[in-house]
Amino acid sequence: MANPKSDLPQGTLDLLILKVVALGPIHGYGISQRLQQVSRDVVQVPQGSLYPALHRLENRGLLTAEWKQTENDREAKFYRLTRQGRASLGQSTAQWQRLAEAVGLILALSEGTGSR
Amino acid sequence: MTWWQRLTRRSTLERRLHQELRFHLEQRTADLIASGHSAVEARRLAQLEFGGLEQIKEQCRDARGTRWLERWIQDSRHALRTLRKSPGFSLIALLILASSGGAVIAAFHLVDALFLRPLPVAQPRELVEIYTVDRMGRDSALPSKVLERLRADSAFSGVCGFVTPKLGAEIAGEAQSVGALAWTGDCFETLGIRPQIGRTFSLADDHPGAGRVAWISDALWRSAFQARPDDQMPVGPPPANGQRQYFWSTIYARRAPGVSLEQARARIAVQQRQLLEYAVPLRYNEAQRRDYFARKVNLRPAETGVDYMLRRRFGDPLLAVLALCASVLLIAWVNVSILLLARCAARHREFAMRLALGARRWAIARLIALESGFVALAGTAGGFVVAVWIRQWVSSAAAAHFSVMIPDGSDRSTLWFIGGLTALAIVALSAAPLFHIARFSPDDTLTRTGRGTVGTGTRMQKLLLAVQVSLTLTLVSAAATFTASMRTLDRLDLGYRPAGLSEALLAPRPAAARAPIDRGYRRELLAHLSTLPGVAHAALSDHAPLWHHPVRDVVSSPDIARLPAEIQAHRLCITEDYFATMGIPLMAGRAFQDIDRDGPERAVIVSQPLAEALGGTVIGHRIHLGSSPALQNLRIIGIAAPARLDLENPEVSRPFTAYLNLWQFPDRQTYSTLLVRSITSTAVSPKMLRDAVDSRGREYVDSYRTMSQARDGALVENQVLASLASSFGILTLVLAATGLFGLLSYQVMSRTAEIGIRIALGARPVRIHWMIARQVLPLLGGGLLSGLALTFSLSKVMARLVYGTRASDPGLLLLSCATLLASAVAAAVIPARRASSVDPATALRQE
Repeated sequence: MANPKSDLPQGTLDLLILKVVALGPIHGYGISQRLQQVSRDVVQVPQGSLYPALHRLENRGLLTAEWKQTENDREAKFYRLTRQGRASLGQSTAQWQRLAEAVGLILALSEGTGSR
Repeated sequence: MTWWQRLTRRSTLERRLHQELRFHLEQRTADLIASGHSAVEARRLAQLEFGGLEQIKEQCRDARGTRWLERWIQDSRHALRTLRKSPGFSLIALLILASSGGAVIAAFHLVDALFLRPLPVAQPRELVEIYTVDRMGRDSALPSKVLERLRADSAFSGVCGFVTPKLGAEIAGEAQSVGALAWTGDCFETLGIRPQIGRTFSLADDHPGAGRVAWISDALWRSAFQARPDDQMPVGPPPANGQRQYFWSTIYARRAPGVSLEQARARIAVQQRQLLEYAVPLRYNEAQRRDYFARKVNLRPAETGVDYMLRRRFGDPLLAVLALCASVLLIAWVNVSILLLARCAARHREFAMRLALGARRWAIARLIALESGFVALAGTAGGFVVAVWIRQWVSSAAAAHFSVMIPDGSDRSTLWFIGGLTALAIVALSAAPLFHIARFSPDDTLTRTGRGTVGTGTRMQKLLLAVQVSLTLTLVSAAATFTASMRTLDRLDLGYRPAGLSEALLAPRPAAARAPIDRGYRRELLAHLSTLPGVAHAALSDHAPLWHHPVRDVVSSPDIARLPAEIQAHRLCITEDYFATMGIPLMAGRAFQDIDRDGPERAVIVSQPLAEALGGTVIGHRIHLGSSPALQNLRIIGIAAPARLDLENPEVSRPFTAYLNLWQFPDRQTYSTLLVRSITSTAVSPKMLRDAVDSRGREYVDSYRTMSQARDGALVENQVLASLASSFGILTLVLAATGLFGLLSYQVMSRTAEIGIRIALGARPVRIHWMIARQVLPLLGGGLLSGLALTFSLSKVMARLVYGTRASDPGLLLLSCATLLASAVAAAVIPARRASSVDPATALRQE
């Protein structure tokens, strides 16, 4: 397994998965590919660990899944966001953004004001 | 997908999970091949990136959130499979638990029906009974006039007075008795009873001028009237005095809202004098008033109703039966525990292997607990079925002696009891194996080979074995005591010969109310009877010997200066031929004669024990019985030999009895008992008696018994107890013997290799037997000793319950000890013999 270039903070994987799934029904492999592409290979999720997270989200009712044909005619499990999942995504995104802003501010502070 | 679907569609889930992960791997492989890797390399890389497939699957399963339940289900299946694999063990355990559990459930059901079941009325908890206790400590009713006071009392929201008279009814032309309940008009409201059809009656109906109305039960309506909507039923007889202003009545009251039981009791205690004074019967003389005012008015909860006769007769024996059943169940649990332990011991290797492979100890414990749990559950379920059989049997057996209705359904307390019993069984049966697992050391098991000495079972097994022996001894000796008591009762000397004697309860025909039951008619009936073939003597009495309890009175005498202590005697009214019919000899004086009836004085014949208590030569003296005016200054004309006419307390061998002349007491004549002595030892047939009585047209035979049947009926509680106890005794002895045999033979068998070596090295079989016996004997000794101690401590209770046994019968105890010892020795020696006769080479090859 390739070493992840960046460890994901706790709970972030769920957020990322929800975000990716929000874009449209997608299967597990698709999610892992999308995550890699979009994050320009910075965030690398160990592929296997995606699935327990998916199943957990499904059981919590944030995702729902159905088996459908892929474009090359194979059966795959496609995940879709539920209403509850959408609400949770909104909440988590807002929370994450607040946290990121705060962390950014603190980091900026230490560079600019530390010597004064 | 709901959690339920997650549980029930596990195989689908598993397949889907596998498919999903495979899809990922295949896609990734395909992508890698597309980007220039070789097929083999691509597959390797894809797997590497993905991580361990099985691990991921486990994590996914965990994510479902139902894993713990799945584990339980998996283990349950495993436990059930294990049980199915040893059908012999499972069947024996099931039989043991079902038979003993069934007995306990059935016994509890009876106790429940007798003591615990609330009356089927609205809010039975609020009901109280108001009653009096007289100078002799007997409960009795109150004059109905008291109801008027209680109705006005704010502590009670409603009252109800009732009596249960005997009632003859003519149904489809045939006279028969129906159970009757005569109650005041407010009972319907107080008890909250609504009619199925028709109206209730009210206080407005409670005056002598009102039309007579009755309610009938659904069952009577269906059987007697084929459920026709409107009908009239002649019932009788009319009361002797239609204008009676009061009657003695059982009184129920409903506590007003917010009034506690204690407050209600205090309320009654405060006004008891006023209540008595308000209701005192006007015709009472001085002595009667004294007796009347010596009563104490009491109050008690009436949630479960009143059934004095059944509760008094069967209360203690039933509780004893419940205790017996419970101890049998306890022994059964110990026994099955021993079997379960032996199974655990046989699976040491399996457990050690599981632990070595990384299973946690509690996972093994769960497995064991589940196995015990299933055994317990199946046992209780089987017990429930057995209990239903027992109940049906008891119902049909009781029907021979009593008109008792044992309710069929299981009410809430029975269900609670069964639930509790199941829980207790699960705990009891898993305790020993769990304890065993907690102390189990896998290293020993794995390093030890099958060749070495295995020991004689765990300390736990030994302890349980000793406990079982101890309990069994106690129970067997209890059973023996009961059986001995029954034999004593069978030989009981009544003072007369029951064989050839029969008794019939007479009741007036309702339709024949115009023709009175008078002396002339009765004389004619007796004369007619004595002409019938096979009849030697016939007599009438107001008391049915060994069937009903006679009335008791305090005896006093104006002629005898000093009576030793307060003397109470049974009082009954008889006709001249009574002593000849019963076969009770007269010791002195004379029997009644027809002329006595018109004499100025009333005559009395006393039993010899009563005569002795009064001072010996008492003929010609006068006595008083109680305080009723009719029973004062009775002249003693004869002394009869002692005879037991009542077996309420079989210990009383010399009863005090006062016989009065029935013809002198017309008010005692309505419901009489006809006694007939046949010329042979076979009693006169009931049909002949019925026809004879029917032919006179005024009365009918309400019920008939031979004196032997009456005697059995009077002793039925003792007999039931004795037969139950002895069958339980045998059952436990069998249980104990199987338990001993199973365990010992298992232990000996696991030492076959060792025994083989010993034999090969020249040990003689006798030495081997002794070796086995030496390990068993201390256990047995300990068990027997503690059993003896237990028996002695129980003997006081037994002596109170069981007639005619001294507290501890050494012969019986010795016999029980010997039986147990013999079964233990047999259990140890038979397998030992088998083991020592095995060819050493074969024995050594055995693992």
